[in-house]
Amino acid sequence: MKKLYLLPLTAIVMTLFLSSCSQPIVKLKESPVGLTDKNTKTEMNSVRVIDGNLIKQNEKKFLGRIGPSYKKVETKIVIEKQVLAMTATGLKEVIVSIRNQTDNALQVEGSVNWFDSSEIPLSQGETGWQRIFIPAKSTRAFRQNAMSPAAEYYVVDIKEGE
Amino acid sequence: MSKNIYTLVVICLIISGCTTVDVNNQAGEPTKYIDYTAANKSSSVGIESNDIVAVSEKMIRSMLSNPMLTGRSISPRIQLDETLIRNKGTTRINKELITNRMRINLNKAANGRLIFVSRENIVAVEKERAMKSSGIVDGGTIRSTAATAGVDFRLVGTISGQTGIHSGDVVSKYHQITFEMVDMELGTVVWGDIYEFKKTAIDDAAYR
Repeated sequence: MKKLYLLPLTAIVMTLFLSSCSQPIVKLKESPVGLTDKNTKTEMNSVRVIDGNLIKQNEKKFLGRIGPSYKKVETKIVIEKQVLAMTATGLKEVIVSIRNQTDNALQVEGSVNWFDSSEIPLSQGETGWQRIFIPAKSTRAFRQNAMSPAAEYYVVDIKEGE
Repeated sequence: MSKNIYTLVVICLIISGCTTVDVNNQAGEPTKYIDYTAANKSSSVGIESNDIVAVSEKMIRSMLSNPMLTGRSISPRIQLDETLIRNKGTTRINKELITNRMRINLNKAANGRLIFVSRENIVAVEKERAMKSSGIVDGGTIRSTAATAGVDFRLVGTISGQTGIHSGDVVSKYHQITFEMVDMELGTVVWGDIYEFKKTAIDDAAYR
């Protein structure tokens, strides 16, 4: 009788212990981009949101520090599409469609790093940030063409404008 | 009594001689290099370094993607210098900051697809040519030509601005920087682009 009482109690304790060890699951509903973490390998032909203000991940835990945690993604912008096109002079051009999900106009700054076929950056100096204003609940395109015909890949960095 | 006063005066002089002079010799703020492509922290509504970088980058990329300029079988000759830029706004700016950055980076990126003619050095070039033709100096090692290079296109630009002063010392300024490429035979405009922005701040910074 004493053993039967201990068995379910042990099971409950074990369940609670294991649930506290589980990794939080992040579900990005519709955004194909995420915040860049440290030591993350740079993916070629990608759009990186480097500003936590644009894609917030609010971590919430049940019962304070105890229990399972989950991350709620609150995005101000959504990267709807990214296209690699070609200009009339044969230079590559990246076009990124950005949607403002907020009820206010949003300033977004973008910068493109172009890479050659060996994935070596072609930018010699600072390339600067290009600012675009996106009205509330609207979509605008950020576009930039490469300066060199050797450009093969792009990495677009997006941050909130100051 | 007088001996006591004399001793007191001597002690006071010794003590005052030992006091340290109040010199501000604390460690200064070290010089820091900051990112010139990022927005300035100061409250300025004028044209800053990040604006100069942004406008020159935009124009360079726009020109490079225009087939009427860089898609020609023979590379066109272009004049691009600060004398062709008019500042019609109220912001003080060294126009060479924009034109030099554009000419140098465009020359690098175009890699021979655009040829830049230096009209700023025309007097020195003609003087050198005169010395060569008169035999004072030899003809050099590259070539001799009948005349110096004529210009196919000239890049002209305008910097315009409009300032608004609002209540509470709030200042706003709208800047419009335009560039156009003029065909120097036909007089037509083959390319043009615009960069505009508006800034607001409390009080403006002074530019020298």
